[in-house]
Amino acid sequence: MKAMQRVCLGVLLAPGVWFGFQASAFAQEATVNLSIKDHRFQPSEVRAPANTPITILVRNLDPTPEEFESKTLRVEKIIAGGGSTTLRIRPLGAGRYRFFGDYHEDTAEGYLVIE
Amino acid sequence: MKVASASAEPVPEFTWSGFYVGANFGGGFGSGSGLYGFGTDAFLAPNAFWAFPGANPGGVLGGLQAGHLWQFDRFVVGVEADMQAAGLTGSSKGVGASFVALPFLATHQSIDWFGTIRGRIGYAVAPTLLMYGSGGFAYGGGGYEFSFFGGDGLSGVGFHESTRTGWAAGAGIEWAFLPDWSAKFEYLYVDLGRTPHNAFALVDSGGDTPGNAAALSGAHNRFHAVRAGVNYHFNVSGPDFGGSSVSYYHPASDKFHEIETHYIFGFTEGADIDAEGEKELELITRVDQGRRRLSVAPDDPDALAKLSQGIQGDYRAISQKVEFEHTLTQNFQYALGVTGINHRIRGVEGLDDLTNTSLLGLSGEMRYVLLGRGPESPVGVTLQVEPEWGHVSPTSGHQETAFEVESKLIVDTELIPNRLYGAINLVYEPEVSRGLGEQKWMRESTFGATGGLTYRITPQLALGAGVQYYRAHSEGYWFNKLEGQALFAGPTLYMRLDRKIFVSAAFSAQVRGHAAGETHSLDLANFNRYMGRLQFGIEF
Repeated sequence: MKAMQRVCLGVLLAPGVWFGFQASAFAQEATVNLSIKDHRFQPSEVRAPANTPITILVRNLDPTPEEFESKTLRVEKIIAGGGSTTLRIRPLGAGRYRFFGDYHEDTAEGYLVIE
Repeated sequence: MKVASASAEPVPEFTWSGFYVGANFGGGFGSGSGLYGFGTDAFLAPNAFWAFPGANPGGVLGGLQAGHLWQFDRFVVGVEADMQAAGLTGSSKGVGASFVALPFLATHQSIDWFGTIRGRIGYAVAPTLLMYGSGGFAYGGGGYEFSFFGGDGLSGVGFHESTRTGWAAGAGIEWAFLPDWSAKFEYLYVDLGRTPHNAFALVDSGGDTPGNAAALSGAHNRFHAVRAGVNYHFNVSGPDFGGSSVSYYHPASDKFHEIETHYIFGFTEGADIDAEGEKELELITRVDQGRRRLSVAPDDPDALAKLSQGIQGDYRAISQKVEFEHTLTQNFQYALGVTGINHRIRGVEGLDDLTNTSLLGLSGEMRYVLLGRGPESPVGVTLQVEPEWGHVSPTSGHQETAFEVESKLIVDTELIPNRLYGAINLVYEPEVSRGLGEQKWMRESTFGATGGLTYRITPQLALGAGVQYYRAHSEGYWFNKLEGQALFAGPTLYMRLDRKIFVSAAFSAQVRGHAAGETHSLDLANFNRYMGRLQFGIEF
């Protein structure tokens, strides 16, 4: 019976703990800066913490347009030549996420490393 | 088609204006009305009458087209002429009514060629994506053979060939996937009118012509055509294509990178969704063929009536779905679809003879990524729920009201990075339906487990194989009375034609099956023998 009460208490408290975790997770937000020059990302590898929403600011220093894309981040956005854009990424688990410039995929390539 | 100088503007202006020539290939299916006629003795009133279904010729068609387009802002107008070879054929049988003896009648109809001269009017929803309607003059030729077998020994065969004129109208979508090349997918309705009333003499069993005649009316030369084609556009009105700065023409990388798995497994679905904000148009053609043929025992009192329906066991359903897909967030995607279907059913056990084209239904699909495959997880898990409203039965083609929810739990994984992928779907589809004029709602459910393996031969081309196992249940929504089960297997293909366009194709044949109460080794009562699927996906 006591075990059952503990389970019930656990079930009741769990959402509170979960929401608390979410609140603390959303309290902080990571920002990452990238630029595109000569159809390459600078820097080509950036880092951000796990389970935290991430904002990526991309500046396109080339005169030609580029499309920032990532299959695993599930984002794509066209950036006009000389323009910039902001992408918001959901909280991610640890890992190495590839992104690329869709118009120059063979040179414009980089990684977002989540730790 | 031209592209303005790239150095002046970072994103070049694209125009559809100019001449083009191209080729197309597709299929057509007849939309005939009933045939009727009568037989006479010489100089006497008719003594026999008949009415039976039209032959509705169907088959493949292909040809060449040429035209010119003019673009004004996003509006595009033009003219196009085409010339098509066609192998549209169909047969029909019937039994007449007579005071003397029941005559058997058969007809074979064909449309051998046709051409059109049409106007086009369209709207460029994206610079390189044109949606259009077209209509105009049509001409073509074909003929029919009419056979009469009288119960009193009279018989005869008549032929009629003609070249006819009429009209054509349709709509389509055209995508410029390279500087001077575009691909199109279009529907065209062609009506070449009715073949006139045609009578011919009959001979008796001794070979004499006693003055009797038989006549046939109503053979209608009209059909639906679905065509895919390519066009080459002459760059006559502008500077050359702007080279590397024309960014949206660049071919995808020739290296093996990540691939979106949603549509690479054919009948089985992958767990990926598109990038947030992405919009895609999906054109999904599905062909289902083969059902249990009508069994006619010699002592069957309805043998004559059944024989008159034909004994071929000819079952074919072709459906076309047009779906708009939108990825709302990085975890959620929805799609809205409308589907039309064409049935041709002749001499199939448990189904009425029918040739019909109709709205099949409307659907709304929701996909939620529970676990994203990638750096954080070796497997992807997605839940997909698709409520559907049905207007006709996809099996019988008869009008009904149906509500169903196709739910799938989709799991996929990368077995060899960027090369070999595997997926498993668990399918649950409860359905409630009521036929036109019926009071009772029928409750059914289908359960399925499907799997696919796909290997990328090149970065743009993937080949694979899939299996599908389904169980059909009636009398409720949850594992109630088992009506039958079937196992399908077949190959799959996925190819990226451009960064923004792909084609996916799959074919499956029933290899094992069993229907409740039957001894056959396949279930052709609840499932079809073959199924094919062809999909074009166009991102815009």
